[in-house]
Amino acid sequence: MDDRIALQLQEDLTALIEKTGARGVLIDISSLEIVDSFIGRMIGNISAMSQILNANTVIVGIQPSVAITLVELGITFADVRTALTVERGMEILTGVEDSEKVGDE
Amino acid sequence: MASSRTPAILKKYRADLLNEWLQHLLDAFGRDRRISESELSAQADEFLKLIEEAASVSGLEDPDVEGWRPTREFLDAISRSRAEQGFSSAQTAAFIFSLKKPLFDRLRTELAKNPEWLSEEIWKTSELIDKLGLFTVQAFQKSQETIVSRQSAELLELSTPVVKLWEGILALPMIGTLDSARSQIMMETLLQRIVDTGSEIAIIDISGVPTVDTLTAQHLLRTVAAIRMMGADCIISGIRPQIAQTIVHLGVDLHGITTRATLADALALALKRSGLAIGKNGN
Repeated sequence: MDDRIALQLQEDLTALIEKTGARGVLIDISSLEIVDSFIGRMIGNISAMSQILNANTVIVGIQPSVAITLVELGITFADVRTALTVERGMEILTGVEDSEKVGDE
Repeated sequence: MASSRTPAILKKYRADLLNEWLQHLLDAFGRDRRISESELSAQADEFLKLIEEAASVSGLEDPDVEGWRPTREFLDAISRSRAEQGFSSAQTAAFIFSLKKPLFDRLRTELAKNPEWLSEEIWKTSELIDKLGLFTVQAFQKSQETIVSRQSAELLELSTPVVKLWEGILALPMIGTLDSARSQIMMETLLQRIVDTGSEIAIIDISGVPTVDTLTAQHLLRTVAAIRMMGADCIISGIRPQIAQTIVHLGVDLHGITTRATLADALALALKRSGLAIGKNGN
């Protein structure tokens, strides 16, 4: 995932949430192995934007190395819900809302 | 310059040399149970064979050339096994150096009529054996270093055992001082196990940690943050009264982190959060 793709994802996701009226967003970053401060901030921003558009956001599949890096960078994802697996993420989303929509990485 | 006589002498007296050398070796190693007589004799025999070959092909001057490679590899293997068996470097080097006396005796009897040759051959062989001995000591030291670094790596791994307490509940009992290297490994192992097992709750038990300073607390906080970030939760247990006092005196903010006094309390909480309950049989 590079900076351009992250920005593109931010555009596409917000547009899609608006268009479909999705109430939940699940971002799977299990195949993301390297993060920098920009990507870390983007992930947080994308979740915050989805929340503003009234879509609950869960980030799943954060790899150990990614989690360690983000903590070292001082990014804490304070307002973002995280889950270990897609299944658990979906449980959280369906628990909060009856309707859900999946947005992937 | 006349070609060296030593290879021929080595060949001629091999059996005698082996016997005499072995006698020296047995005097040195004899009562040592770490190495058997037959093993020692096999090694000595092999070594004589190798140097005889190398000396006749590549000469005695430089044991660094290609022709001496089998000999060097053999010495490398011997040094490694000696290091693993726990011999000292002096004992390892003595294996090579004890060949000097029998070999020089043979040279003396063989070249007695020509003192010039004799001194030259003795000088050459002595040089050669010194170089080989030096090589052995170097190889020995290298193997010892590998052993030490392997052991310290093993120690690090042993000191961070992640155990599964229940389905979905992991525990990491910490023992000893938490430094940066250990806490890094601890964090990585624990996070990896969380991913592998899909456990939602991890308990870090610090009963075995003697003291907590700001740095240790910092490491703990970072580990908890990383675990949270992955979507699991973390409970810190085994906080002794002194440590609780220290933490407050240091002004470390453990706010928002679940802590329990004992591992049992932490497990009870973890079970409760997983929706499990333990009761007496029949109740």
